Amino acid sequence: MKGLLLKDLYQINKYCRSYLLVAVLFLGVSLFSDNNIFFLGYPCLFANLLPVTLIAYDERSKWEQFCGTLPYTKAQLVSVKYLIGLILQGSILLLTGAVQAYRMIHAGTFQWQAWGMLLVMLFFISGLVTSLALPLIFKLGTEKGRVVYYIMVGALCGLSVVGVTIFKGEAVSALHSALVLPILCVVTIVLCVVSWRVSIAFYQKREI
Amino acid sequence: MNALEIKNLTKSYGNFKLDHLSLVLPSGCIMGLVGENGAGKSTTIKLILDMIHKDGGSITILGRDNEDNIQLTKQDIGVVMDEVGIPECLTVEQVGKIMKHTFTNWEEDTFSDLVCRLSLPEEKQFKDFSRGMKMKLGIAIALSHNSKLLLLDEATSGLDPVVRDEVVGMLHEFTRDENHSILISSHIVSDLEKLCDYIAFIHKGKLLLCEEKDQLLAEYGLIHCSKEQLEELDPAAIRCKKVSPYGVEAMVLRSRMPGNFTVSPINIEELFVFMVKGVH
Repeated sequence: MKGLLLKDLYQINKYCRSYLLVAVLFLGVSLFSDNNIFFLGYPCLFANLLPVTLIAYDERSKWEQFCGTLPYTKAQLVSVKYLIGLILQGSILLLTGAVQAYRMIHAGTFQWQAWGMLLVMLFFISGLVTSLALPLIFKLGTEKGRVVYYIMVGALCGLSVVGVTIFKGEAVSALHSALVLPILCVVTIVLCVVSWRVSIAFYQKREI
Repeated sequence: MNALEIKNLTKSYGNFKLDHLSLVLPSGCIMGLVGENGAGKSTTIKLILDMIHKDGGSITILGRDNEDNIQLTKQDIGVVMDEVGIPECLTVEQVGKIMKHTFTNWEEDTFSDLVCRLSLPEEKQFKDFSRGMKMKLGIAIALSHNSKLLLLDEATSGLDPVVRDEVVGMLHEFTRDENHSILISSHIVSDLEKLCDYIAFIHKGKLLLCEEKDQLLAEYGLIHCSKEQLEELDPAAIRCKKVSPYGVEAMVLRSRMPGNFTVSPINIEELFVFMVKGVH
């Protein structure tokens, strides 16, 4: 699988360098912004969608067909995209954590729980996005998969707004519960593992 | 041991059906797969590599079932499909590094030699390669990991005659080792005629014949005659015929022809066209 990983890293270096720079720039801007959710969320969202971008490039160059002639399993082809996502998301989260810790300490507002909550929420949102997007892309291809993915994200956002409006009080108190951080972490990990297995099952049925 | 054994292979897609295809490629031999567009050549190669799922039949590659740990078997197979799907931004050097981590038997020196011999630019990105250069890179990869079986799907198309001749030479060199075999499909039947020990004709998903090339050429011949002369011949001698206002051209079995008839030699292309288009 090392060869697959190397190929994706070459492509990231070529096609995605500018996006990575923008992500780092946004994190930098978040240092000087009080309402910085957008600047924090964008780099994470970008890191989540990068595996999808790589799959789109693979489809365009017919890499999938070529790969079918190489000694790789379909499970390895799927796994490498999850691995790339994990590496990028992990790096962006670590960077975000460091930047936010610096900002909070500098402003004298650092609190472990607030800092942890921010990172876990970003981790959860990143995990959710990847877990939804990749199985759809492996099942339907990038073009159709992206459309279905955007519809699903729209529906989820709508449901979240409705849910928060109805259960506002309960939602705020739930977020302050000590259990929420570990629960969200476990849920995210389970989502990612289930998504990975589902993607493999979808891709194994696909004829290339 | 046979390099490849296919028994009763079937696969259906919409209107197309690969119908109980059976063929055997002995080790050390080159087999040419001849067929018109959509005949089932690429489908057969994809089924061999388990890239698509077969509906029935069995495929054995180098003594192993193709569904049994295929990625291990693929270490011994070099493949060049009609399109080499290497990402556009990669250079030859980067492709070499990726393949080094892909094949356990990757031979860096062989790859460098082939890149040099085929005049491939090392710094250029794949997107800037011509079709011929792309195919040459595919061939260099296929020949650089000590493969025992080469599967080539239209690998010589898009190459100029000089390079094609060089590639044909390289393939001949490859089969000097008696454990090396090649299954090659091509529209350029003259290349197959130069290369192959065995010829298999596929037409609309069915195998018309699979025989040793020399035997085919010795067995069949061409005659030009009038309709009346043709009617006097043993019907079993005539395999296919083309009737025109100027006379009849027929593909015949030499062994069944009377001695006074002039039978001209037939080439593989004529043989195939007769079998597909001629009246039986």
